[in-house]
Amino acid sequence: MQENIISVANLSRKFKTHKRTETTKAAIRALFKRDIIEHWALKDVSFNIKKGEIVGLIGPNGAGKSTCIKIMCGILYPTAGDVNIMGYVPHKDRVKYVKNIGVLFGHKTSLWWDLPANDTFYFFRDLYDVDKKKFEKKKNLMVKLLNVEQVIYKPVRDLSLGERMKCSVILAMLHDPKLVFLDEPTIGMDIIAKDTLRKFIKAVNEKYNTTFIITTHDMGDIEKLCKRVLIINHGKIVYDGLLAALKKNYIKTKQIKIQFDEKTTGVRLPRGCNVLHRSKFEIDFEVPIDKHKIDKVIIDLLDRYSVADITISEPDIDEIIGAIYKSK
Amino acid sequence: MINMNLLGMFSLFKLELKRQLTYPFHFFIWATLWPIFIIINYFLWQSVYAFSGQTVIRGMTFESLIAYFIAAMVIGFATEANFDSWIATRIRSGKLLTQISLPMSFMHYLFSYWISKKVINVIIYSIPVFALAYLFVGFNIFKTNALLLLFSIVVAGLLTFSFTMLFAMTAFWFKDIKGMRYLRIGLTTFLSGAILPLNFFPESFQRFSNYLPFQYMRYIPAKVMTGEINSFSAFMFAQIFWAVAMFLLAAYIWKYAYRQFTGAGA
Repeated sequence: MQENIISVANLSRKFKTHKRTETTKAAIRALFKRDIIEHWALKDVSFNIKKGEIVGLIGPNGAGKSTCIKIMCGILYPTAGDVNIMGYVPHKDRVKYVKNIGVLFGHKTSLWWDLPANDTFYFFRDLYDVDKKKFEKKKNLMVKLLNVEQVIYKPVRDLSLGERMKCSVILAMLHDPKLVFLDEPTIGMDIIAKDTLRKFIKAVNEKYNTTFIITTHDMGDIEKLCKRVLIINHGKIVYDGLLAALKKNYIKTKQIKIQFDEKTTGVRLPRGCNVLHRSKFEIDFEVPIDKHKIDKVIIDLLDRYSVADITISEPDIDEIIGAIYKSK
Repeated sequence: MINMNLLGMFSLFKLELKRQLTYPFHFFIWATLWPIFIIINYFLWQSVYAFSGQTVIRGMTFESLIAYFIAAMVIGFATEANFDSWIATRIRSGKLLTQISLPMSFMHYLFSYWISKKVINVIIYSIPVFALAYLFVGFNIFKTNALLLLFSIVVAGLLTFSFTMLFAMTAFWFKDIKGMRYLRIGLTTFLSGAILPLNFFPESFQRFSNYLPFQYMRYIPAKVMTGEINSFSAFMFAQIFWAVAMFLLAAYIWKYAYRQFTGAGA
């Protein structure tokens, strides 16, 4: 059993904003009296994360993911609650604490815009006080793995978003952090680059037992990387558990598509099945898995009809997550 | 000053030097403009002195006035702090989070960034301005106590840095600080003696000015450079007082200001 690297208890954060008005008249009135809106970005959030886990932190836009990450990075002060990460309270011991973590904000690059990424790498070497030999070794390894040997010598402003992201990932991990926060690490990347990055994260996780917290809107990242997911919505955790369990709990139906060898009409289906599409040579329907066993349904159909092809599918993770976002 | 990451600060300083040198064009523009301001002042005051028929106005000869303009300008290269809009833009866009997620306090970050600017400005702009000084008044007019000058510039730098920081931090509440910025520039330009030496102002104002921080940013160090102040006087103590007080105030307010940051849009 691995020890906890992060423990968050009853974390809440409130934001205040001024109400913006639509009309000019109201805007003039607002010069004298402004209405303040309070909004809880996080409300009573608790969770623990163990060393070596890769956890996906997901939720719809404005759910509180980024706020949660920023508090864990020591950038934001919580309104209430406790955060303890590797023995530090991030917002109190920020400078000492962040030496131990790696951070990547997908939308805000830490790379110097006008200089090659390589220059920022060297700044980070000094900033995090990394041993020179170790640094060279690690840098060369990551540069090769992510295939950016040429890219790191070009000014960052000339890079594509995907290339920039790869350099940012390297930057976040040069100092061998034990814990890495990646906020949308795959935005702007093509399929090959995404795959490379995912493999890279997986390899680092396995080799160094590095803990990763990943927020993303790309369910591919989640499926390929995360065993465990935390789903945040309206500032609350609505699901905390294994991705596999999530699938098991939320998948209520499977879809079966059958193509017949000959013209077939009046196909009899078990009770509760929902026909989605039907033609002379084809039937497409949903089976509630709590009522019927899929194998039995299929055997029964094979017995009675002349079947050319069968496809069984289940709702993909996007649909499941989408359903959870909507439901709460 | 606790937890100072010196290696990181020095590395940041070098990185910023490098970044500034990627766009050298504006240096050429300013290296031309600064001497032009001196030239304008030279001919303007030449005619003022000629018209008045006096060789000394408000205790200054024409040459010592020109020497003052040059000194005040060079002190400005070494001490000016105009990073408030830089900070405000970053607060408003949330980009500041890339700076405050680093293992370095933001004050130290800003300090390294600012020092790199000062070093470049002094090196590049002082050359043409000193060339003009040699041409117009010669170097003999500067009876500078070099050690005292260095000291006074460092203290003036700290004072100016902290003063700008105080204005910059209002961006945590106001988000847009254009108005505050103009107020700061207005106050420091006129009251510090950057445009005109303070002994050209009414005497009551000069007495009042002794109790304000502004003259210690430009006027006093410039007088040290021209040699009118050449020993460790009460002015130096007052300068240190203002610099330390302003710095402590800025550091104290930073702690509260920073909590207003929301890192929007990331």
